[in-house]
Amino acid sequence: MEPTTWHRLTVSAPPEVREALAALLVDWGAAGTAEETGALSAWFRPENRPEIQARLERYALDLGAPVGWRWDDEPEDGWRDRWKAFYRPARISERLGVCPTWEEWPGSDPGVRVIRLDPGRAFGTGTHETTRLCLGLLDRALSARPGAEVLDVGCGSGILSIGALLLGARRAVALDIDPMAAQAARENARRNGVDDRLRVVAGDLRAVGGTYPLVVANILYQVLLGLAPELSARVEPGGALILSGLLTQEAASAEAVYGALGLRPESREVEGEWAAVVLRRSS
Amino acid sequence: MAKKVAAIIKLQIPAGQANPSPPVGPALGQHGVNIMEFCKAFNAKTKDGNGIITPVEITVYADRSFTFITKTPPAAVLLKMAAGIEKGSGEPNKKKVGKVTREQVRKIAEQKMPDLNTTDIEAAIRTIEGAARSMGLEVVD
Repeated sequence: MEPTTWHRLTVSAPPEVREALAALLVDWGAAGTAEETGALSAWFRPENRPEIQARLERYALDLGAPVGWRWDDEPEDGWRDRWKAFYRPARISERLGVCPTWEEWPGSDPGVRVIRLDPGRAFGTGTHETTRLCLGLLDRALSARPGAEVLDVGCGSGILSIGALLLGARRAVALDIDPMAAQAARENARRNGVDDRLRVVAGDLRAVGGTYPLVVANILYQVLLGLAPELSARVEPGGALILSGLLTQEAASAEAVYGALGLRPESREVEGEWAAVVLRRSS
Repeated sequence: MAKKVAAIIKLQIPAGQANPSPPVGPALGQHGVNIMEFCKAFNAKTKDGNGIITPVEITVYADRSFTFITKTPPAAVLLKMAAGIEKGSGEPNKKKVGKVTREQVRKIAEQKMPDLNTTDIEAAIRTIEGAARSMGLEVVD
């Protein structure tokens, strides 16, 4: 089990010493360092604190430079969910809005379906460009083909599947290799009253069979390349694949890779530096 | 209109491997940044970095949106590579762990110039020499 408390070490030192210390702290087991207004921070497990403290004392004494530090407890609940205070309801596409479970949806337009979401620690709040791009494309795809079944690969909070179901998809299957994400997706499906139509699987593509008229994967370029053969095999003849998590400069290359697997690039959407592409298998 | 800046945070983390644990989680989380969104963006942009420690400067705005830029490798990492050592010295005066030449220091200073807030190469060299000494490296001719 992951401990819930870290010990934060904050060091003040001249800039050239800070550079050396940042590297030393990593040598001593920190996963990285943070610097803000000239103070350098690193986080350690409580049991490692005495050893780090002793090393730091030896280092400062030997160097003879003005090095000061302090330790603070850093409980995870102090920062894990702080962003939630800034998470607000938002209109995402023609027919979709997203609203945190702890907020009220401000609109009254009956044409808008609202996804009620608590992403927990999984990716997918609806605020990220790639999520918005995918939901917009799902909205359009489901307008053109009402009721189509959806496969959502790398589902995170489940936002894409839930959005698709609220837009009329008959059923959806959501996959994530992270069990915490799968759990968040299940809970979010229940909150939105679509859990009877959503099957959530904690696992990879090998855990589901069959082909689908609509497949969506919002992950990252490298991962999408690795998944290309398995992912494209899940698209039925005439069906569409929506890919995102691509930087704009990666879109053409992704289209080429999937193109070689029999999927024809149909459209590309860009928001900021992110792109989403739609590919189709001929019927 | 330019957005109001709430905080500027510099992280040194392995390329392509950002996750919500420290340092990313607490450093960004305390400013209200959505940690998973930063991880996704950082990992996408640094996927070819082979896990090398990469400095990244994150600007957090009042509405908690953020932008970031990755920087040249840390001086300490470049110095270790130049000296051919794995780790710096925990007692840099008492225990020397390697040597770098003035020429190597100059090259690193030139490489790091864009991030050192100076246009004076001699000042940049002094900073890098200081970093070398602070990690137990001798600077030799």
